[in-house]
Amino acid sequence: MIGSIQWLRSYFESWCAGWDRFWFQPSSATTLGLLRVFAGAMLLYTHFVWGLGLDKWFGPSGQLSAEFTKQFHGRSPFAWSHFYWLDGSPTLLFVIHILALVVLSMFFLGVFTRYTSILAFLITVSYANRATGALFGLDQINAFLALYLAVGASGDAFSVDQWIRRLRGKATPPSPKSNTTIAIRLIQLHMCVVYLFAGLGKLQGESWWNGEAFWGAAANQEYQTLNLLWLVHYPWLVNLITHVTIGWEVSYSALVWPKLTRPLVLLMAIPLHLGIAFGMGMITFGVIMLVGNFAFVPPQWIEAVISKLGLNSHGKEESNSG
Amino acid sequence: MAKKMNKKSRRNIQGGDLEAHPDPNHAPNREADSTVASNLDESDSKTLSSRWPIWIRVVCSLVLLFHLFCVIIAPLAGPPPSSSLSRNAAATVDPYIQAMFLGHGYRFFAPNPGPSHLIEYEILNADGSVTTGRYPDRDEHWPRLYYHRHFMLSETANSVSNIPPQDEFASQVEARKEEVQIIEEEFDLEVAKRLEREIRSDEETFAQQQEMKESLLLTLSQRLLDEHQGAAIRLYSVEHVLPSPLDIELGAKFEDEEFWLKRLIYEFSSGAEWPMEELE
Repeated sequence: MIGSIQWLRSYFESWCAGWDRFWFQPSSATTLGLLRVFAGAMLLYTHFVWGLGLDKWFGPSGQLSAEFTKQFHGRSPFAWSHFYWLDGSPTLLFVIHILALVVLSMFFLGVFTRYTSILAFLITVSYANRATGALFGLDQINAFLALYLAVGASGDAFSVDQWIRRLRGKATPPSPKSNTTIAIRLIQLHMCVVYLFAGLGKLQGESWWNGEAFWGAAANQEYQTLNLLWLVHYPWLVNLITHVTIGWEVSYSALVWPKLTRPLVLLMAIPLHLGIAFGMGMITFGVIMLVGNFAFVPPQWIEAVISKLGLNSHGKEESNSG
Repeated sequence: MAKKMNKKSRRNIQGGDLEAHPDPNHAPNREADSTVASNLDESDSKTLSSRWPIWIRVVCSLVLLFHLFCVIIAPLAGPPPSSSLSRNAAATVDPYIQAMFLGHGYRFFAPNPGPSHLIEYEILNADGSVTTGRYPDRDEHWPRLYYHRHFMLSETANSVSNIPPQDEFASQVEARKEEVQIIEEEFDLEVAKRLEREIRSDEETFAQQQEMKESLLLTLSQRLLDEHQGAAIRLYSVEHVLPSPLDIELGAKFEDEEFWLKRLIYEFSSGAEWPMEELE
């Protein structure tokens, strides 16, 4: 009996220690900083494109009425948007939009990152809530990346903030932080959730079992950018791509964690998402999924690459004494 | 001793090291340790192993658990099929899910990659002529992301218009109510009450779906009319059926008529009437 209690206690302590290490062990901001650059660029582009039809999407006489978007969200006050508070003036709409682009640019560059990261998340959600009906996977990934980049110290690397810090004579880079670890872990786990449900959802479909699903993507003219109809002569290839896709998605959340399988899982992400990007015309979605996968790249890999270039993640040239 | 322990605990676990030992002070990955340590002065060596106070870590852990629960329950609860348990659980945290924009199913190309849906419109001009167009349009809507926004809107328009007509729904509800009446009289009152609540819920949902359909298609119609300065409009949802491999082998093309299924989803007029020949 005493042995069982001791075992339970030891088991519980192991869990606590593992949890503590997983979430709170301070870590370098190198990966998170690069994630901020990539995700920030995508946020900036996404919102720039919204601006091509500002009145059409967000104006009071646009094709998506505020009434519709509120109804879509069950009139929940928590599905908020600053566009609901604007009076419909095209000039005000334009000015607010330009301000949003300025904030997103600052976030991308890492200027006042502590504040612009939070604003970037709020902007992303606000635009998305008002443009409900015209959204897709890109917006879902954009939003959670923006949220987690606001949680972590994403301005501690590859940022103007860091450059200014050096100009002010603060030679040492920021110390590793626990909130950076939390941010990276949240991105990693959320990516696992995305792939798991994407895969499990597909398992309801017959075409993912009989190997024909990829044909459904290739033969869709509205998505198609590359002509893939020649695949009709290679049904085995359609089957193979279908089975590999579903197998990879369903197994991702398990196989991406162990050191041995992680590189293979991440390498597989590249052709899969580049295929979506350039074969199906969803370049932004394919790229943002690769950005999310980047959260699994250890900062020491990035630092090693940068070191070979003669720089460190804070832009300083490395001294020969290392 | 404390200094030695700090050096040993200096490790970067960014790589999600599942082979890590339970002892947080054990550092098997010395290469990672040295990589991170090389960026630190000796005076900073403590910061790598410094931790937030335990009470902060406990509070953060609770917040993280709550957040992860919401991240997982949202796709579990929708879209259908989903269990009533998951839907009820998601409903309890709906404010957080909405505020953090977590309410997604991630069912990309699931259950099966399906056909695309476009919008075709016919606009009656003031002079009696008719302008037609298709939405989205790759030539007009550029860059690709802009085209995709319009594409998603056309899919939404098809989705919201895919509800049964009012009279069909009403007769279905009537049939269900008769069944509930029989259950109440001959079987179980509680079961009948629960079924009645479900019918009322479905009626509310149908009413909301009708409102959404009207909201979206009306504003879309009005916008198109404004752009073309027309007097009346008809909107069609056009399903572009996926050609099968056999179709392609037999020489079919995307543009072939058999792959385009069109249905009228909305009509709007600012007073003008379609000429008789347009009704045929």
